[in-house]
Amino acid sequence: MLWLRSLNVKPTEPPVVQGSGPSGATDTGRGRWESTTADLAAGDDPCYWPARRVAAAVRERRISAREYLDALLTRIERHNADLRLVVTVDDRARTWAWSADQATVRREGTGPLHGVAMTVKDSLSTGGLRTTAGSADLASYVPRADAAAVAALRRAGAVIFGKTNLAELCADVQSSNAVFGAARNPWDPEYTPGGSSGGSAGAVAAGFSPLEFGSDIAGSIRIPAANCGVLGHKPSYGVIPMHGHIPPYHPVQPDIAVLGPVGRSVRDLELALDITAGPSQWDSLGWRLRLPPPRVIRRVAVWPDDPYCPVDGEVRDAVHAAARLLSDAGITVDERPPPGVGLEASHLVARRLLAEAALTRDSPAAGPGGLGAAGADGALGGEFAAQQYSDWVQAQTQRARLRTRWAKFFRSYDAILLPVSASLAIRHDARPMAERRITVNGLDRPYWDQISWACLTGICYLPSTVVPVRLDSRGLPIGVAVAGPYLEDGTTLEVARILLGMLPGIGHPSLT
Amino acid sequence: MTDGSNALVATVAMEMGEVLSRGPLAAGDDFFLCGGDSVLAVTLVARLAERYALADEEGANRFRSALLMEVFDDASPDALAAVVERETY
Repeated sequence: MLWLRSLNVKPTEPPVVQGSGPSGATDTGRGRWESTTADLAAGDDPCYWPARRVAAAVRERRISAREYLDALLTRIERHNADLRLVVTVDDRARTWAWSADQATVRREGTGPLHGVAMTVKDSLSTGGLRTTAGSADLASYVPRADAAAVAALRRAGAVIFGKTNLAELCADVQSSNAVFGAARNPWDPEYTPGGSSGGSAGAVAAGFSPLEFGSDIAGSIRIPAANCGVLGHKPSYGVIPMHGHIPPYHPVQPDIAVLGPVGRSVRDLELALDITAGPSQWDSLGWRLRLPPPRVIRRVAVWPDDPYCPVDGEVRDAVHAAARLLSDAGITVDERPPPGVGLEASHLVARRLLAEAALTRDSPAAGPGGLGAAGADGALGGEFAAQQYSDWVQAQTQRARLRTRWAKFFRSYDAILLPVSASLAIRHDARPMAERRITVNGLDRPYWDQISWACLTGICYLPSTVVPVRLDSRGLPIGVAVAGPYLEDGTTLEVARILLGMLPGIGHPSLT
Repeated sequence: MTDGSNALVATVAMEMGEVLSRGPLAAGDDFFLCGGDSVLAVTLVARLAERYALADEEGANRFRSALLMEVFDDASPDALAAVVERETY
């Protein structure tokens, strides 16, 4: 508070960090905060403010960047040990926050995230700060340079103060690894926050970070966002440069994989996308990116279930509930899948295309001819790692045909509501991959059923925004996915905004 | 669409299904995503060209070429029926 006094802040201003210090203890009970339009229950605790609100408060000197950072660190200090969401804190962050405050005084801090402390997934390289990607091989790796997206966030004024937990090399829908152990869901630590960006979504849900950056190839942003009751956006493929993300090890542009924001406000996601989107380092000399504005939302389709990959009744009901809200908003809602796009056909294509992800994440230390983790039984993408090239080309061709079907469909529809995953959030499952199973509607199903719905849109490069809808019968969040036409990220975010404006809000987890 | 073209779509969908040894495709289904490959696509084109045979040679060749290009561009009963309608009526 010294800083505020030195700036002669009016005494009528509320003490901004009260309640988040060790003595001030006001935990945010479920349903305590009232939801505001397109924000997830912001309330008076700065730890739950959206990033834009923090930026505005810093700019107007109602809170200092240091006070905000300290509020988050205090909260992390109290609650993170049990949850293992934040895995590394950068000691330099206090200095950066101090510099940000000095810049504010000089009226120099003009970036849209100026002075906003935040964390990123530990698969994103941070110059001078340990980056492990959850791999024991990289437990002590300190990159020399930032990932492109991290650099863009820093240029926008963000104070990147820590890294969040994830699945080993991003290859699971839980977030456990040999370096840091298993991230736990802040709504109920007996359950996984999902993966691979489980630390990202968990940290945002727990009030450890206002905004996060994760990555997604088969649901790795979307599933954690749904499990943790926060917003997640999987952008159109290629919109945010992947440079500096691990995996892959080689300088390749990995197929299907994207980076994307996780947050508690649609405007924060839009801002984060705006800050980080652009041509990659290969293309930036000549290409420019200009995403179209959102459509006026008139017609939305809904595809809540499919015999190929049965969806949990509670998830299906949540998708229907979201559809009814859009209908109440005057939008035409039709329950129909896109003609020609089968879930089964799409998933067969996905399984073949995901082999690339398995091979490019594989450790160079796997040895000659060895597929390492990729070839291990049941690993993500491992199934077809040894397929023939002609099989891969056929899958690639079929993907192009699926993209054509989707494009045609989105001439009639602005967006489609889908389950994020076939199942509700699952309990931690540390068994070997090949032995893992899930239960859907009381029936035993394959573990990888959890990614079928995410791959449906992911392999076709479509944007998808996850919106928290309600709590399930066990008290864990359920989200729905809003997918839309390629490069029309603004449209899926717009549908998310409409939904959030109508939903009562699920509040925040009670941390102990 | 008129009833006539609906019947046409249904016939094309049936032909496509027969080439794939299965029931008729849905109007928006993609032949290649239902198990078709380029060899079967050529077979399909031959069957459709025969079923809707045109008397004059030049028209028949043009029809066959149009089907061949369309089957790779949009291999749905809807799209192929549109080619039949455009080229043969």
